[in-house]
Amino acid sequence: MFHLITDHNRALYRGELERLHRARKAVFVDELGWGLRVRDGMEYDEYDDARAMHIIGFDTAGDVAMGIRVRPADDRSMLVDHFAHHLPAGLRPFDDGRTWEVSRGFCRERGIRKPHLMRKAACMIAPLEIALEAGVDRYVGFTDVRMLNLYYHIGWKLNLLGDPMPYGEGDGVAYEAEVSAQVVRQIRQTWGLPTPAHIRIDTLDDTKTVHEAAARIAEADPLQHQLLAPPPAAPRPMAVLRRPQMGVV
Amino acid sequence: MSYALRIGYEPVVGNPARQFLDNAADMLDLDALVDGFASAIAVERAGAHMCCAVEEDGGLYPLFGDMPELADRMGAAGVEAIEVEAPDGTPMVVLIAVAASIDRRQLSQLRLAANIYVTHGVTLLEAADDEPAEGLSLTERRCLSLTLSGWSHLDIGEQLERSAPAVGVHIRRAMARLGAASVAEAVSIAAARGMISHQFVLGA
Repeated sequence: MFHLITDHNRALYRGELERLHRARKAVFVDELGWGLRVRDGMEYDEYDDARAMHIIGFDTAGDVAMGIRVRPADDRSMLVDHFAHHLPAGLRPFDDGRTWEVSRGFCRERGIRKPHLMRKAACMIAPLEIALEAGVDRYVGFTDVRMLNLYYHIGWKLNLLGDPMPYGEGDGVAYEAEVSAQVVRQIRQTWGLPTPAHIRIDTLDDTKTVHEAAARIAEADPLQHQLLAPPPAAPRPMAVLRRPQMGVV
Repeated sequence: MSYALRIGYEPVVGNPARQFLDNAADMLDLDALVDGFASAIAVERAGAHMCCAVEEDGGLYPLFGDMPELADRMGAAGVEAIEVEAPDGTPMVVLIAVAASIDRRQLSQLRLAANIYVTHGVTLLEAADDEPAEGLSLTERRCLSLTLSGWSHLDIGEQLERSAPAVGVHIRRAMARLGAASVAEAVSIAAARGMISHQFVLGA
């Protein structure tokens, strides 16, 4: 299941957020070799502030299997702060109140069976759902070109901005993505996702952890139950390209 | 607002592969995609190309492109090999005949185009279908019928042994053939013409 963590329920997720930042360090610093700031074994940046929202999918052990960060782009954005020279002229301003930025997306879960596909799609539709609900009509971001296949495969509608540029161990490209009811509907129809695909836990009530609370939701909702982590997949016979399946800056 | 937000926009040279990048996701025909990719990389002084699956023994299996013989020239001078992971995790390589003096900028352009090419090409390859003499193909009718029954593309794909995006291609082709602006309209038209029904399910 996919938990939405905002400033309102952050206190419930202290341990989970720590595991998220450790996972980000493992993916972006250790595996991709990006020179990011690491503190106490965790990767943080200046966009991990009170306005940042995180979507996290957990595995059967409660560890972070996939995650993505979104944040309003009206005050600052990674794309403008760090990659402005690669943006085309005449682009719609980012401070229009209808633009959010997506970043630090990753997926450590392998597998192409139905549960894996649904979970990846759920992780990717959640940012669209919450943005749509907030009246946002566009995401912007910067991604390694090798990860574009995931965006297109899930059904994001991208408009690539400017030229690709060498970045880290590969090439990156800026993009804007359509946020609309139509895109959300199409992705939902494609992958058979619940509405919404994410859950938001603001209180534990009589449960002890967010995972217990999530399990209770899953018991009551068969569609959400399908988004529980499947047992670990068997090792793949070969892995020529060893890299996470999703990674945006 | 950050400083760069106000002053950071600088004109950049137009992406020579822009047309391919903008249109690839909407293409419903693999041959058209191959032609589009060939035109896009020609701008970067690249010639023939071939997209191949990497087999377990490291051998290459040509899938689509305009020069299958390139599969035997992996590692040869003048052949750029761009590794790409297909959406299902299959390792692929796009072999491109290039000028010896290709620079880093050109290589970035080729990598971007190759990634998009493989993503959509694999889906279109999966969605290979008979061209119906008239109306819709059998697969298109099945996809619309199951959509009418409320199935997701993922579930339809499990029945038809193809990916959810490939099912989406079949449905978009059906929409194009029927002149429908939406899936709902395509289903409505097809049902009205007797092409589909709730009972028209696999093999029925």
